[in-house]
Amino acid sequence: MRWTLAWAHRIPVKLSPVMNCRNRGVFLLLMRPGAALRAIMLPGLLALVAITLAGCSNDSNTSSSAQPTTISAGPNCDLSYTLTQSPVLIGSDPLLGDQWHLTNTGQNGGTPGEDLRAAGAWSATRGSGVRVAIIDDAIELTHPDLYPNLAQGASRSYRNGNRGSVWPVPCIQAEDDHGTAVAGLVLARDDNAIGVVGVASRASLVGYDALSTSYDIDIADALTRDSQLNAIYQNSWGSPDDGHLHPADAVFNAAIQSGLLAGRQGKGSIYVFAGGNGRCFAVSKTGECQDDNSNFDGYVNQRGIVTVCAVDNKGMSPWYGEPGATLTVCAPSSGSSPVGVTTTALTGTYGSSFSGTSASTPMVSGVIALMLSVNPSLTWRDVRIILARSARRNDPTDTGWLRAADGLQFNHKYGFGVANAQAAVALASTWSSVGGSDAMKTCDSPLRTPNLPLPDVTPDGKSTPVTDSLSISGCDITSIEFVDIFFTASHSYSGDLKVSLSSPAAAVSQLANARICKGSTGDTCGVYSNWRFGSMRHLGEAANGSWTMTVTDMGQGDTGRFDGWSLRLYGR
Amino acid sequence: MTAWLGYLPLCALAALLDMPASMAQPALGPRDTSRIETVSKRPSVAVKSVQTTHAWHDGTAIRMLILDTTLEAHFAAGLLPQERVLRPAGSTDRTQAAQVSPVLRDESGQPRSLPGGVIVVLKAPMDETGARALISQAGAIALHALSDRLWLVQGPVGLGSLRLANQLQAAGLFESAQPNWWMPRSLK
Repeated sequence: MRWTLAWAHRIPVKLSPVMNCRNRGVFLLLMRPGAALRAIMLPGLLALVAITLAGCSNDSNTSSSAQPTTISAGPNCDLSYTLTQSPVLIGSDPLLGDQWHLTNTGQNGGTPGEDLRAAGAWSATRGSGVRVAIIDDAIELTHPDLYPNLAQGASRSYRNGNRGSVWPVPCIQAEDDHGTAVAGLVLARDDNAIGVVGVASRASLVGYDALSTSYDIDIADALTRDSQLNAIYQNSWGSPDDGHLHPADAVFNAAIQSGLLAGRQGKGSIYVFAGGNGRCFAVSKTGECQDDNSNFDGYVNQRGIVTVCAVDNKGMSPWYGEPGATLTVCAPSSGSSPVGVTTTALTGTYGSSFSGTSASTPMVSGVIALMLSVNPSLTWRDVRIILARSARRNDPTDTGWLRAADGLQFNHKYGFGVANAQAAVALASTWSSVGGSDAMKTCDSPLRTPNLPLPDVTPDGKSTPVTDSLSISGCDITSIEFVDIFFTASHSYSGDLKVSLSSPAAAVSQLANARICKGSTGDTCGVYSNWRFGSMRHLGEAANGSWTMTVTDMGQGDTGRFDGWSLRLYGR
Repeated sequence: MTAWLGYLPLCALAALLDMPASMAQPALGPRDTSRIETVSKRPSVAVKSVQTTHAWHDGTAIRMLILDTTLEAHFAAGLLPQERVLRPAGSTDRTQAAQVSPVLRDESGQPRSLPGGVIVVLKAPMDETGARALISQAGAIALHALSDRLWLVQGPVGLGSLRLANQLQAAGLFESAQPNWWMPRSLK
């Protein structure tokens, strides 16, 4: 059987001789609403020509109908899609060489080796058997590089006009492009002679467009939907990066706790979130950058979240890299040079400008899919520990690297380093589980109420730290996995406060940096009223001993008091 | 009562009205500080302080809100995809009024609004029959469950849902009851 493809896309494709009726799949034809189905190219609109396989019987596991199926995200959308039966191609992925985040050979001026070490993991697994749910604005499930991995009928749209559909596809071309880029980085299909490759290119795709409404109920529903089937919930979104304290609502927290406890038959759902892009979110009148901190975002500063930071193609923190004691690991993304990440884009195309922790987060979701593929019994706790222990220490001369327990190092810019797919898969394959939520130990400290005044900065610019200590004894946690720090301070400008925690092992978590917050509203960056900070920095330490909080007023003109604090330690 | 929030300047309002439900990620390339907003501890523009107008129960915490009289939020089922949820106050005709909610601002100044519905967290896992009976006992109508503890309860668009949530919280039958908030999330 010979085939001819009219091809207007910029990616050259060679048809494979092994293409036949048996391995045919479904390709995409994009049309404007009302246009007739036709196999011609509209520049900039069509990416692939749909071809019907003449002479083939309906023996595939794809659609049994030769009739094209039209898909839409609802009325009045810019975009609609038509699925037709057409061949699956086999062959190398032409844009793989551009994907420096997978294998950095120095292309685009990057540093060779500053990548995910993904290729080293692929001899063991491509993520088969693991289902990843992408929670985003919309996901072009019909994209020819995504569709082969789609879990049929498992996705859900929350969009008005499309609610309940299993096709949460983009509606507005100018806006709904984020989730498609995210999905490609997790699991774009390998060896299909088109486009790019995801980190876990044989994992299964589920899409939830809960951000299209941004209702609490839809977010909570997406985070808990099919939690026995979905292993990973991928989230490249969060609170605004404006320096304010943004607590997560109780319903969000309840959804996460529900997934950790009951998801994956008790092993726990894996929640992966972007750490944020808030470094230098604003500048002061004197030109000083003001930095957000992932600990100001209630979505990501809690124990059940894998919080992801970004590094550029030289392995350095990018200009937007937001620090935080909650960071787990980083992954590649855009940086100080105009080099983004190559991934899937709308209308069956590809782009090379995806950026931010939105891009790095799905890479870590892909790494986790690889880990779960080789060891499905891993719990959510195992996943976090393995990521930390297998991470690669990037930017080795950075002075922010701090000694941690078990021979690890932690950096408030990088967490435990850059996710290393090869090492993570190797460690996962032999890992002995620490257990799930049921086996996790918890110790609460007594509540301290020091009620100490916080001296203002002196006219010559000198700050005076205020400290308070508490002692934990009788706690049987010998290896900490996460620390919640509940902090209360009354201050007329809470953004003045720098807050840190020192453990019995003298390891310091930087919890809050001083900053001036965005907005012309005259508020104080939020109120520290039993605010929950989180820290991964004490991973592996013992709980018992003296813990010390240090609070320093770094700004002139406002004063307050250090009212109280307590700790909740999690571990084994 | 805390006066911690003022009105947004016009430029911020304009940006908000043009903002989709989520916001964009950082641009490629080096930092261009000339394009980054300049901030100061005390606003340079005249700020009109306003008082807390509403409260809601976020689990065990009580959180304060301020009514933003410059905006309203549209949740009509037939809203075109291109249309924004947030619009200037007073841009609604009477036929749409039932689908329009006031906009409130939380402690961080972020807008929140009420598309309808209340989310209750049960004190303990419960089967569907029991959960529906409990919600009915509290004077509300159960719609559907997200899990064996999380339920969506029927509530109107607008402040009626906030009132219902606070009533359900006060009833003491649930671990918590909060409105089904709409609020923008940031793409990272």
